[in-house]
Amino acid sequence: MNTLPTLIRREFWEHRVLWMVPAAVAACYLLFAILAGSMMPAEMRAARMSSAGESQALFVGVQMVLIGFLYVLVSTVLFFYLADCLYAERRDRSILFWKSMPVSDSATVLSKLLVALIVTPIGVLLLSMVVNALAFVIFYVRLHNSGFVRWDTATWFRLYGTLFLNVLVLALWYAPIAAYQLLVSAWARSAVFVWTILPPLLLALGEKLMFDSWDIGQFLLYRLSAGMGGGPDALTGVDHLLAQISLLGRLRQPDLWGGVAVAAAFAYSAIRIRRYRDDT
Amino acid sequence: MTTVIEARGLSKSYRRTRALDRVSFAIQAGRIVGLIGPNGAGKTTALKAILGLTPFEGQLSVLGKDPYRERDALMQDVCFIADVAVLPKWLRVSQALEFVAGVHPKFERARAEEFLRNTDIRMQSRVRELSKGMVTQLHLALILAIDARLLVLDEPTLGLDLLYRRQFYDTLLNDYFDKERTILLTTHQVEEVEHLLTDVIFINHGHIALDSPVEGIAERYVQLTVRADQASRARELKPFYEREVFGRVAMFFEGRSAAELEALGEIRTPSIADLFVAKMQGVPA
Repeated sequence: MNTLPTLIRREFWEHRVLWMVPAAVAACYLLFAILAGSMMPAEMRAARMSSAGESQALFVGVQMVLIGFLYVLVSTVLFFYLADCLYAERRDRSILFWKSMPVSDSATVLSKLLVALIVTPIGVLLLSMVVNALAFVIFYVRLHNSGFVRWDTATWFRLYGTLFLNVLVLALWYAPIAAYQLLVSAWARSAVFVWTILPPLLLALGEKLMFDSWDIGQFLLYRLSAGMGGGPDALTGVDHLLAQISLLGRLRQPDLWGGVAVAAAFAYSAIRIRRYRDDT
Repeated sequence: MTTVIEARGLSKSYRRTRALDRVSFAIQAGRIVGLIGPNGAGKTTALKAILGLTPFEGQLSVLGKDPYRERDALMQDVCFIADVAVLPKWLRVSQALEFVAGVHPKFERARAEEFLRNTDIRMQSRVRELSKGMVTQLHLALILAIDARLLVLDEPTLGLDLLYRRQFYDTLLNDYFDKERTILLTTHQVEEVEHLLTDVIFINHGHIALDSPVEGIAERYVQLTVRADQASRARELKPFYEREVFGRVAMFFEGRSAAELEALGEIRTPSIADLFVAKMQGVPA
């Protein structure tokens, strides 16, 4: 008997895209690493970093390619997952089977939030840790120990330390969006995606029509993008770069905690709807 | 005897229809109760209320708990099969076992595996690859391995062929049922379950038309078969329902002694299926 871990595993059984997409990306990346080594121009292979700081920054930058790619793809996968997860069980009527088990609706909804906000992002980050390390080994072998990008264990740990903390900050940041999606997924009788996108879209357009301003739209975009605009100004030293990547400062922003409160309200509503709706 | 389910003045209305209208009944431990009624009679509504899936008016206690407010805790002691289709298509057999083992404190995995070994179901199969009968077998395997006190079955064998239906009820009687456990079931195929029921509750238009132990039926009801030309004499004794079959008339009496009737023709205790039809179509005596 370990209810929450079982509920979380259940999500990965049903929604296999959650692990298949990152696995496929990882496989492609490694394949690319194998092929790219031999295609790299000679001058690049021979290139040497002028300073240790630049080398470290490049070391981080190279790893961020895979991480950024996974971030975008997995966010998309999670969007579809969240829209579907409480809707699918009503569509195929399996909700009556799940409800025949001694599992509370709170535990069920919580497990889905955890999958989207914590378990999948952490899993993907662990995967990119391994894949990036493997890619380095491949480069190392293929490029005959050229000094193009040097392995740097200390920076490697610092980078992933920062990124793990980022996952936790982003979990809080995206919690209202995820909980909103669960609410729609638990509520909609059909066309979940339309119901997910329509209300915020109408709010933003309504504001534009009535007040000729885009405040709501901009606020939503800011929430969705987590305020992460533009790439880091590269190669200015690893400390600066890691400081730019880190999102820990967000914890001091009141709007992050306001979002968490809104998320709690959405999640509570989703639980109530799943618990008390009677249309099966 | 302990009371497993007790309903007093149980009512439930949907927008226009009154699905249950001040229904009262009690179900004791160790009984197999058939809840029998035509479509739309309120059977499923009653079961949903018992399972805490729908709000209701009146009083309802299941294993001493309010099913609506204490659903999560209640589900440790109550199992249900609502329809054969509810196991999700993507689920593997091994995952189903894994899941129930993970969330149910009273699930004995080895028992379910043993039951499945005697079927054609393979551990790696997904539900979508199984026939309807096999899905029911799988669901039954899960439920047999749960040490629950009340089992609720809503049309459990709908759409299954005869062999699977027979097997389903045989397994239920032999491997599951004992004096501590209670089974409440609804089905359209009354003939198939009547030999295993200990009690019947007939329900029609949200009201209870009959609530009796099976052995009590023989004391209350008599079915008399007379030749058509002798029917008028029997009719004076006011049967509540009659039906003509092959030139003979079957009449159903309530509260008449066998001695009174046997001079008129052939008498016997009506089958549950016949009594059901008589009760649903006849005038209340």
